[in-house]
Parts: sequence; structure tokens; C-alpha cells
Amino acid sequence: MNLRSVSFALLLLTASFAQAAEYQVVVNSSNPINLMTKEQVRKAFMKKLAKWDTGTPMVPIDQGADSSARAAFSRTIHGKPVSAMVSYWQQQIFAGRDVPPIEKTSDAAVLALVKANPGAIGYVSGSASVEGVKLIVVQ
Amino acid sequence: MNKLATVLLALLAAPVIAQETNPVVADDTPAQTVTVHGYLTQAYATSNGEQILGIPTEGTTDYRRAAVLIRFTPTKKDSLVIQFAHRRLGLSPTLKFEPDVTLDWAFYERRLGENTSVRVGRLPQPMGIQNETRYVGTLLPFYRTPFNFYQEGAFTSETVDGIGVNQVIAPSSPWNAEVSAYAGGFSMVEQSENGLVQPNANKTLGTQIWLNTPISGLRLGWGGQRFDVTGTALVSDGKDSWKSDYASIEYAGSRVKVRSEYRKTRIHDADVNFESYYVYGGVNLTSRLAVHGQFDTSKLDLSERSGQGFTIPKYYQDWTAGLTYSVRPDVVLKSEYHWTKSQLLETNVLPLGAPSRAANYAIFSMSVSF
Repeated sequence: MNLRSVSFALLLLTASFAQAAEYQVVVNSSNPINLMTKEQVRKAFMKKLAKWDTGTPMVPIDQGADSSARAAFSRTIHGKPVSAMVSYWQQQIFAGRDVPPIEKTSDAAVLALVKANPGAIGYVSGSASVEGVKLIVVQ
Repeated sequence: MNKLATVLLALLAAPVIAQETNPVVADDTPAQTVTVHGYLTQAYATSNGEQILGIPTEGTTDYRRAAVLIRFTPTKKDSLVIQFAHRRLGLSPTLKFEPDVTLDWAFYERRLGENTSVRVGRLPQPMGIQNETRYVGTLLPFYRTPFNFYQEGAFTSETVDGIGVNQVIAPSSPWNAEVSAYAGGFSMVEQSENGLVQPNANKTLGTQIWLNTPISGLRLGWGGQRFDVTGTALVSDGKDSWKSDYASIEYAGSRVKVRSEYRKTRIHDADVNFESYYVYGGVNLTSRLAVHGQFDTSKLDLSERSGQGFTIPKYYQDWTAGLTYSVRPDVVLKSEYHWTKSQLLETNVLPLGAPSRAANYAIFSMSVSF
């Protein structure tokens, strides 16, 4: 194992510990990406990134407003409580500008949609099994 | 209220109860081709002095705003947006020209790349902080947006029939900007000592520029609008031109919100100058409970107008205090009290220029959105 691989493994481990307790960010298993910055994830869920580098349309999938995974994700990625993000999307909707990402009310529903869609990106609770999808490291 | 309005309100109420997630197509389909959203604010309003803004001393529940917004997005670049709206303003005479349900917006939007979009049809005017969302009660600290800056009922139009362009500049920079421009026409209600008329505005040109700063939540805005008007009762030949400039500053933190806007309007041939500003501050006491305060004032300058030649320093002045309680982000209860001095009393009407008189009023409302 060379130095680069060791560094990547350490990075993966560190990042995994950081997000393991509360949520995990996942993409379709065919997606070549392994690592994203917090800013990239934030932009993905604000619908400010339209496509992956491969050209595949990006499809962010949120969890319901009452979900604990969403609370943790919103606090960490957006730096705001869920209520502030709901207000942001209300402004976008009622100014006729955009609609929020698709919302799913369970980890299972998010995972099913991520498995089925090559461009999907979602997040699930830290305890959820992510078999069949790809876990992303968020720096 | 006619049957159409009843159906509209029923449509609004049902999804509000059921709504937990945004409407999407089949579970395994990520595309959102049709979405339906809406809002309703129902109020009880009462005045303790004289009737003002349609609010009588005996109180009224005929005070509400509702809308249903339908967005059809066949591709990522194309959208068709239609909004139906319903508004009641108690006993306000300005409702004379307003049907129970109106086609509020109907526009096609085409996205040209990541940062540019074009709209054609009846579209909301991008003006100030709140014009596009001015009736969405779950987003507002009080029942209505500041009266002097945004107006309601008369001397205003929230939409324009025409074309609009929106451009985001330097989206990756901490100093990024959003520029909107529009052109077209609209009609509005004009209320004066001559009664109510409905002039048409044409050759409208407007712009709104927002500068986002590196300080999270702080942004600065500037905008302007001009249009020609026909059918006005303010001048003998019925033709005039309006020009407005406005500036905005907003800080929206996680706990504190502060905003202020200034507007100056000149109606050229009528020799009317109107200046207004407001200052708003709000603090979240808990995650659900917030307290709000606002000072809103305007000056009507008729000093250049022949036959009048005076200035009204408190055309409408309003100190407001309020509380909001968010049951959920999409269900908000509000109570507010207004101490006003103005020329806008709708009972015992005195000629323009008589001393502004006091009238206090309270509004209790519930807002829901889905």
C-alpha cells in the first residue's frame, strides 16, 4: 500500500467517524465519485449544481423535515436549522423560482431512490445499512 | 364569496392537512414534472378608532390572502408557472375592481445555462426584499409587508405583463450579485379625491440588483422602475409618467433579522413626490416564538402641485409590534398591533392635507403553506 492509499484510507476513516454518528451521504453505486467537499454537497442540495462531472443530471434527495438525519445534515452542511432551510425553499417556491429537492420520509425510501437513479445523491441516518449504494466521504 | 373562491379555499385546506412532503410523481421517478404549492392567511382584524385599510371598528374576518401555485417543468430548462390568488381586505373600497379569484401569475421560464433565465407572460415584479413573496404569511413577520414601500390595493401592481431576465453574477464569489430586469405593462387601481379609477401602465422598465456579501445573511439591494400611465385622474389629460428608485438592506441571521428599505417616487405631470422608508427588527426568543417591531413612514410632497402646494409629513406612519409562534415552519400564528397616524382613514374622510389622524388596529392571523 503506497502513501497515497494510506492517506486516502485515513481521510476516509476520519470523515467516516465525523459523520457516522448522525448521517451518511450516499450516491448511486455507478457514480465514480468518492469524495466531495462540504460546499459541493451544500450546493447539490440547494440545487445549484445541475450535473455530475460525468454529465449525469444530479438528483438530490432530502429527508422529511422531522427526520433526525436531516436535522444533523442541515446543521453540518448548511450551517442552519431545518426550519431556516424550509423558509429558504418557501421563498424559492413562492417567488416562482424553483422547487426543493425530492423529499423522502425514511432511510429505506432514500436508499431505494439512490439505487434506482444514477444521478442521485442522498443521506441516511448513521445506523442505516448502505449496502447497494456508495458511501461518499465529505470533507 | 363566489363558488370559485370556495373551491379554491377547499383545495388549499385539504393539502395543508395532508402535506408532509413536496408533491412528486411516482416514488421511483426523480423528475418533478408538476408541483402544486399554496398558502393561506386568515385574519381577524379590528380598529379601535376609525376604519383604516378596510378594517372596521366592529372587526372583520373578511381579511385573508390565499394562492395556489402550479409549476409544470417538462425539462430542466423549461417551466410553466401559474398562480391563482384570492384576497379580501375587509371593507376596503379598493376591492371594487378585484374579482374573488384572479389569475395572478402565468409565465413561461427558460433557463439559459446555469446562471441566466428568461420569463415571458404575467410575472411577479422583482422589487425590494418581499414583493415576490409579499402575501406568503409563513415568511412574513406581520400580516402584510410594510405598507408604504409595497403598497396594497391602490397605486401598485405586484406583477407585470411582459418579459423578465434574471442573471447571477460571480456565483462562486463571496461577493456575488443577482440582476433582474423586466419590461411590459400592467393596470392598477388609483384612489384619489376623484374616487377610484383603473389606469393602465405601459412602457414599463424595471430592474432589481442584489449584492450578497461575505457576511452570511447580509445583502444590499437597489432597484428602479419607470412607466407611462394612461387613464389617470391626477392630471386633466389622463396621461403621466412615474419613476421610482428604491434601496434595501437586509441581515437575516439565525436569531436576529433586521431590514430597512427606502423608496422615492415621482409622478411627473401631477407634480407628486412620495418618499417612504421602514426599519424592521425581529428576534427569535425560542425556536418557535419570535418578537417583531417595525417603524414605517412616508411623506407626500405636493408642494409643486398647483392649487395644493403643501407637504404631508405623515401620509401613513405606523409603529408596529408583534409576536409570531411557529407551530411548524409551514404553520404560523401571529398577533400584531399598529399605532398609526395617516391620511388613509376610510370614515369621516377629510380633504388631503388635513392633519393626519390616529387610528390603532390589531390583526390576529394564522398562516399555512404547503
